[in-house]
Amino acid sequence: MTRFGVAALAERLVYLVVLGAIGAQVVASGLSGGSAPPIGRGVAAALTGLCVVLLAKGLLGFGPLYAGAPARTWVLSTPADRGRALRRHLAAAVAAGAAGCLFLGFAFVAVTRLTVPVVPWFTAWAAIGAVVACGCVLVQAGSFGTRPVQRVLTVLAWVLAGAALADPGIQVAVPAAVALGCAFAAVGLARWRLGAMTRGRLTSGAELATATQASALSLDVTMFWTIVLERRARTLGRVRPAAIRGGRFTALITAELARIRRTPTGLLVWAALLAAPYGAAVTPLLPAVHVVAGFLAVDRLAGGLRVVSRSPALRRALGGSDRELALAHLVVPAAGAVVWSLATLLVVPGVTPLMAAITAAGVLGVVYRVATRPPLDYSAPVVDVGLFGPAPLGLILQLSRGPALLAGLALLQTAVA
Amino acid sequence: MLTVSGLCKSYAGHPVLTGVTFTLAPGEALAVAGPNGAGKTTLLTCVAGLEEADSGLVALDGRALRESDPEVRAAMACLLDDADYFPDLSVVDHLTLCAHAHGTVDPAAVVAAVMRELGLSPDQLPVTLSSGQRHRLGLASCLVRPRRLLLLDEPEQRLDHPGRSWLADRLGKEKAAGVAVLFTSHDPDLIAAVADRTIEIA
Repeated sequence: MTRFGVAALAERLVYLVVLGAIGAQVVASGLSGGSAPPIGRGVAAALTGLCVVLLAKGLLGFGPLYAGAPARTWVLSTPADRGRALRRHLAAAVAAGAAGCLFLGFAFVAVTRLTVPVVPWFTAWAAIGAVVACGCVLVQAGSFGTRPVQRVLTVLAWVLAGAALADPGIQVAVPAAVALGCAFAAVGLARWRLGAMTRGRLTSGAELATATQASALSLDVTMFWTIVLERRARTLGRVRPAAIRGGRFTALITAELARIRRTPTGLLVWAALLAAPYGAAVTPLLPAVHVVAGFLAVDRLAGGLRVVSRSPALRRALGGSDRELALAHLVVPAAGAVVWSLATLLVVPGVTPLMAAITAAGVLGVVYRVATRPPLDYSAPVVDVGLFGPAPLGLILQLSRGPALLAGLALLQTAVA
Repeated sequence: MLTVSGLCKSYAGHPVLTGVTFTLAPGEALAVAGPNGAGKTTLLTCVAGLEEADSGLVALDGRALRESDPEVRAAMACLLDDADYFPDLSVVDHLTLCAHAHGTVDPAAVVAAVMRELGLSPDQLPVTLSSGQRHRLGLASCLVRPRRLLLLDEPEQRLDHPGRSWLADRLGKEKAAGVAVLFTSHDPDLIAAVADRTIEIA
């Protein structure tokens, strides 16, 4: 298992816990005649653990320390003190980890409405973030094998979840002090290991960083996902043959199902996103959250549609018309949209059949439009859009086939509700 | 079968193709030769319908060729430099899918035979293949499906010596089976072994 796959097992366990917690909450709510609150500390704790694992995974995906081409060519190839040169990068990684975990601590309190001592609580979360970031740096430096890190991540996620489930009146001052001590030790250790970082390890995240930058600038995540998918494929390397059979349409669908089975995390994310409308069940944001979470869930199942839409060579190789290929690759996302909406209708208080229907149909439309949109055309003319100044027409078109469309659907859902 | 007449294409005012005209009959092989940058790949992409020519006509079976036409896709197997793959489908998955999608008779046997011919490992994902193996996968994807016209852009590239011998032999068999072959090449041996005619693009 490579660095990128380190957190996979822990992450999948936490996804299962999220779903289990929702199920338990729904059962408890049913047994108490609907008096139980729609989201409890169980779900929030599991989600928090999941987010910590995702944070670690994100940091590992980018390095967390990476050097771009200029630094690689002009600094890392010289006998300069590499440890000193990388200190700023380490500080940035620690800051990112701490900021991410601070946000998680805030979100947990906001969702569960717990009363906590502010300073120790947020100190503890920032320290946990620093430890996670430094742990990732140590993994990058090759200080640890992947298995111990995998175990640590699992334990950390469960300790966090357990701690979050503890008595609300818990004294967090002592754990915060311990976490702070651990953070200082981790920063010291990571700083000591900076000199051992090789050029290869420092450039491993550059590809993803460049793709992320390009995707952010063009408001198109295609490039980002292409790199992510390639990395995943490299971690898999070899796979068992899929059972592709039947006629043309059936073969395309069975291949799509085989691809989804090979990366079950996508399916778990699809299921775990049920927690989002569940968490917003008692708020006026429910219709919008329902749409956005539905889109994120169904989009995870639309990888095949994205690949086929951006690749004329694959469309030629597979034959048939573009419409037929798109239809075949829409079957799984469509089934995903319907099942997801039905599940929310069953378990989330406040979701009506109309809301579920609008989300299922609307989200599928948005997923289709996003997956099939053409790449950003930089040669298109620039249009003055008033407050935001001149913007390339291509960028406006990207928005209209992506975030703007989703926002429109969320507004429509809110208005109907 | 394939008719190209008066094909012109230029980039930023610089003419690349000027009035290219030829026909290709079933079972015939036509090689396109010329130095780097002469426009060989441009000619193939125009014939395949990937790029629109400035003027001229490309027709398949007497009808103007449109790349998105299912009948054109069923007739024409292409290996151009834009070859792409599903990142999470293995070699055998790609070939099996391609065979099923085009209605190949006995797809499992055909796929197994082509993989054996090309020495491909069935369970590897494309991203783990070397550039030479990926090229072989591209060739294999053309051979596991029914075809009447093969469009190959420098099919000998990245192949080792035995691979080139195999390619010449295989293209000879394709011609014998009535498949028309249009290919670009820098390999005089391959052109001599396979092509019935050669057009030089300057």
